[in-house]
Amino acid sequence: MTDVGRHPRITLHTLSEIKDVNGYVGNFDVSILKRARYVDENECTACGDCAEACPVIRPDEFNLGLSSRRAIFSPFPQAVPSAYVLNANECLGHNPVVCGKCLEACDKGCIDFHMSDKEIVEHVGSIVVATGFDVYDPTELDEYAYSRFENVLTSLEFERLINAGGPTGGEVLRPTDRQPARSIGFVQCVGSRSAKKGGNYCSNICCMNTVKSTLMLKEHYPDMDIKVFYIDIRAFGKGFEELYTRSRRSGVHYIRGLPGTVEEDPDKGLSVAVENTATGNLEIHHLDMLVLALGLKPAASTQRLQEMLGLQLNPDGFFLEAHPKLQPVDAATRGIYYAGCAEGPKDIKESVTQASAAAARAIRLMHKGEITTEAITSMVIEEACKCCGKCAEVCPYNAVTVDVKKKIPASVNTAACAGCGTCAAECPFDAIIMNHFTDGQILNQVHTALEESTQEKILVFACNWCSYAGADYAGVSRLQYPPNVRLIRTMCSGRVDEKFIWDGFRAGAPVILVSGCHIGDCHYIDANHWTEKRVKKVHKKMAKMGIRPERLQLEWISAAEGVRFAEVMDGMEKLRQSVTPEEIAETVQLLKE
Amino acid sequence: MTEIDVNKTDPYFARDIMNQPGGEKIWACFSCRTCTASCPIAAINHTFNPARIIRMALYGLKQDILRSDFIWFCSNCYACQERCPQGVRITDIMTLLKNMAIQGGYMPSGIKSQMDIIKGEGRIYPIDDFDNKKRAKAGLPPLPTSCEVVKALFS
Amino acid sequence: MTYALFLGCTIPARSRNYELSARKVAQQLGIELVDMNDFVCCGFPLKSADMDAAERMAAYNLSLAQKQNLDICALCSSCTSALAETAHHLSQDDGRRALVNEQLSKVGAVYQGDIRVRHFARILLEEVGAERIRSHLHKDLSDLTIAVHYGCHYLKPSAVHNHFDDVEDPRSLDTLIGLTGAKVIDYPGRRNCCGGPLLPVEEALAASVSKEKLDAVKEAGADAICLVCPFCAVMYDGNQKSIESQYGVEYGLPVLYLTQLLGVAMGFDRKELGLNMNVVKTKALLKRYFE
Repeated sequence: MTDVGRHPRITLHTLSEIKDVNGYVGNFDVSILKRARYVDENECTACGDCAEACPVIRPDEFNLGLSSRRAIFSPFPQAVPSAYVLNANECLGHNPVVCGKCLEACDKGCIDFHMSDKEIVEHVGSIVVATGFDVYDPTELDEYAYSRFENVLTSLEFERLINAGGPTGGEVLRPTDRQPARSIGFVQCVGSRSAKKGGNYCSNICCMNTVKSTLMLKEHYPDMDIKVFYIDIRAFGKGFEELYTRSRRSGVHYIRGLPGTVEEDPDKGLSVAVENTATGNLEIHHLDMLVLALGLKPAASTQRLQEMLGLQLNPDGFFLEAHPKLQPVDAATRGIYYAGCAEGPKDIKESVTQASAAAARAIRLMHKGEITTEAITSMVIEEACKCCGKCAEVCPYNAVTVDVKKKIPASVNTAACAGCGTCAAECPFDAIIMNHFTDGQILNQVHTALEESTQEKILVFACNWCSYAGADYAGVSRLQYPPNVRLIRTMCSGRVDEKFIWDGFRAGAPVILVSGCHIGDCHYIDANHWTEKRVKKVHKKMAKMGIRPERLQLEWISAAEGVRFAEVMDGMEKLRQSVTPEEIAETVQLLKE
Repeated sequence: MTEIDVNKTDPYFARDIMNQPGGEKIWACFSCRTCTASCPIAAINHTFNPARIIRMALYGLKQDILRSDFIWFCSNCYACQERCPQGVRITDIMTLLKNMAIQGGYMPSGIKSQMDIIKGEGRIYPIDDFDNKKRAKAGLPPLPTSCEVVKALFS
Repeated sequence: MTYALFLGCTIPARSRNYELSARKVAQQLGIELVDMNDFVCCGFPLKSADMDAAERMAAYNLSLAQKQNLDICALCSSCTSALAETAHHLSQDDGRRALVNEQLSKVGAVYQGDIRVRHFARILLEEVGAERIRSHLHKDLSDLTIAVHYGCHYLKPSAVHNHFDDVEDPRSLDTLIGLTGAKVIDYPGRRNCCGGPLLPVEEALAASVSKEKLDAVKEAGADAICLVCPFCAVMYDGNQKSIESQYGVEYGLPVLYLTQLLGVAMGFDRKELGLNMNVVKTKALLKRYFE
C-alpha cells in the first residue's frame, strides 16, 4: 500500500466516494466527491501531537470499539497516506474559540479547519472495481447470543484481541473481567451456507482464518483448551491441509456439529450445547469465550456502484463476471474489471492473483492507445430515424444517444456497443441496421428454411451464447432431436424482431421458438428482458387475431443444457403435430390481409 | 452398531416426504446438527434425535421411523425449524412422519383417543351443562354444549 | 378495537381463571371481544394425527371470523399458532384454499383468506400500546420477581407470526410485565418448551421437560412464573404437585397468567381475576395487593 502511495503514476484518492460514472471503454468520466481531511496530507508527518491534544474520545473503528481514538486520528498505524484525519462531526468545533487545541499542537501548521469537500472528475480508460466486502452481522443469528453475552465475540474482534498491535497488546482477555481466557470455542459458518440468515454460499476464508487463529493461540498459550465447532473444514488451497493438520497436532479439538443454544454461566463463561457427530452425543461445552467465524457479504456500496457502472450482480449480491471460467476478471461492460472480494469471497492469495490479472487485462486493452471495436455493432440510418428514443431505452450498454426533445437522430457509440441487436429489433421505423445480422440476412434464412415442406418445419431462433451452444452440446452429446428443426442464430434473443416472427407465420411456419439465455444469465446484461416483453406482446396480438398463441414459444436454454435443448425440441415437434394444414392456411390468410 | 439393509430401505421415502407440504426441503440437510443441539427433548431423552430422524428418512428407513416410538416425542416446539440453516422444516416433517405413521396403522393410544374426541365432539374438552353452570357462577357467558357442524365437516 | 374472541377448548373448560382475567383486562383497556360461539377446536391437537383435518378445522374457524368481519384474538398460544399458520398457508396458496373450501362447502362455509390471527398479548402490545396500558395500572408490583415463560407457539413458527418478536431473545412479555413494576428475571432455558404436547404420548417425558424449567426458575429466585398459554399452565400449575411428588422436590411456585398480573395492577380483586382457581396457591404471594 505504501508503494502505491508513493508511485508517481498512481493517484490515490482517500476519503473519496464515486458519485457518477459516464462514458465507455477508453473514455470514462468518473465524478468523485473527495471529503475534506482538514489536514494537509503532504505536510503531515503523522507525529501524533494533534491527537494527544485532542480532548474528544471516541471508539476506535479499526479496533471494533475495543479501544478508543481521538477526533483527529490516524485510522491505523500502516494507513496510507501517512497523515492524520479529522472527523468534523466529532470535532468540538471549527471555531478555534471552542477548542482548536490541535491547531496549537501542530508545529507544521498542517491543520486547516476551512478545508471543504471537493468534487473532482477523473478521466480514465478502464476501471477496476475492488470495493471489497462487509462482514455478516451476527445479531440476527441470536441463538449464538452475540447481542446478549459479552464474551461472545466476532472473528474480527478476536483478530484485534490477538494482534500484538491491538487493544490488549495481543493478550486474549475476556471482555467481562479482563482475565485471560483459558478456553475458547470457535463457531464456523456464522452467516454462511445458510438458506435463511446470511448467505447461502461458502464464505471461503473463515475455515482457514479459524485454523490460523487456533495456531496463534496455541503458540502463545499451549495449554489453552480450544474447540472448533464446524460442519465441514474446507482446507482446499495450497498448504492449507498442512496447516489444518498442524492445528490438530497441537491439540485443538475439532468437533463436527454446530451449536444449538448458548447460555451464560454465573461466572460469565458460556455453555454451548452441540451434538458431536463423531460420538453421536449431545454435549455441553463450558468455555470462557466464544468466537463466531463471520461470513462475508457484498459491500454495502455494491448496489449503487452496479447501477452507476451498468454491471450485473450474482444472486448472492457480488459482482458478476463476464464468464465464470473464461473471463473471470472482466465485467460484461468492456473496460471494467474486478479484483478481490467485490466479485466473490476470496482469500489474500486469490485476491492478489485476480488483481494482477485485472491490471494485466486493463493494460492489454489500453496500451496501444486505441482499441479495435467489434464488427458486430449497430448502425443508425439517420434519414429514417424519427428520434423516438426507443433504441436508447433498450440498449443495455447505454451505447445509443438520441435527443428526443431536440429531434437529433440516434447515434451508436461503436466502442460501447456490444452487438446484441436489441435496438434494431425494437426500432419501429427500421432505422437501425445490425451489421452481420441484418433484417435482410435473417429474413432470407427464415424464407429459405420454410421453402420446402413448410408445414413440417420447426423454426427456431437461438442466441449465440446459450441456446445455440446448447444445440451444439446436444449434438456433441449425440442426443436425438427432431431433424426438422431449423435453427437461425442471432447474437442475442433480443435481436429477434417481431417481424421475423410474423414473416415466419406468414410464410406458413406451423410453430416458432424463440430461445435465449436464462433470465439473469444474458450475455448482454439484461437484453433478454426485452425478448420476454416482446414475445408477450406478440402473444397478445396473436390471441386477438385468432391465432393460437402457443404456436409461438419462448424457452431459456443454457449452453450446458443439451438434454434440455433436445427435450424442448421434442416438445416443439409435438406442438407442431397439433397444427393442422387448415390452421396454417388460415393464419397465412389472416396475416396477408 | 446399526446395520442398514438396503433391501429393506424404501428409495422413494424421501421423495414421498418432499412431495408433501412442509417436506419439500428435506434434501437440503447437510447434517450440521443444529437441530439436535437445539432440541429440548433430545437434551433429556437420547432416543429422540431430530437430525438422526432426518438422516434416516433420507436413507429410506421408512419402517424404522414409522414404527418407532421416538417420532412421537417431538413436542412441536419449532426450536429446530427456526434455526435450521438450510431451511429444512424439521418440525413440519416430524408432523408429516406422524401422519404417515398413522396412515400406516401405527398410533399411540393417547393420540387416537384425542383424535376421536375432536372429530366426534368438535372440541377436545366438550362443554356440558355442569361446565356452563360453573361458568355462570364465575360470571362467564354460556357456550353451546353440542357441536353438530364437525360431523358434517368430516362426513 | 373489536376482535373475534377465539377461546379454544381448554380455556372455557379448564382455565376459566385465564378467561375471566382476560375479559376483565380487555374491558378495562377498551378492547371489545366478540364471542365466536360456534367455534370448533383450532386443529392443533389433531395435527400430528391428521394434518388435513386440522387445517380444515382451523379454516372453519377462520370462516366464522370472516362472517363477523373481524380479525381473531386468541388467548391460547397453540390456538393462535394453529389458526395463524392456516391463515398464512391459505393466503399464499390459492390452490390449497380452493381444496379447503371444497370441504367447508359441506357446512355452507367459505374462507376467502384475509383474516389476521394474533395472540391477546401481542394485541396488547401492538394495538393498545405500553403507554395506554400503563395509564390503567394503579398498583405497583415492584415487590414481585417474575420469571416469564414464553412457550413455543406464542412466537413460533416465526414466519406465521410475522416475526413480531425475536424468537431467540423474546422480550414482548417482559415489556408487558415490566409495566406493572414487577422485576422480570432471565434464567437458563428461558425459551424452552413446557413439554405439554407430549402428555398424550409419554407423561413421564413431558414431566421431565417441565421439571427442567421449574428447577431453573426456582434456582434463579423467581416468586412466580408468568405465562400466556393454558397448555403451559397445565404443565406448570396443574401438574406442579405431581412433578414435586414424582421427583421428591418442592417448588411451591405460583403460576400466573399475564392477564392476572395486569389485572392485579389494574386493581381488580382476587375473584374477578379467577386467582382462586389457580392450582398453586397465590394468596400468600399477592396478599399485600389485596389489603
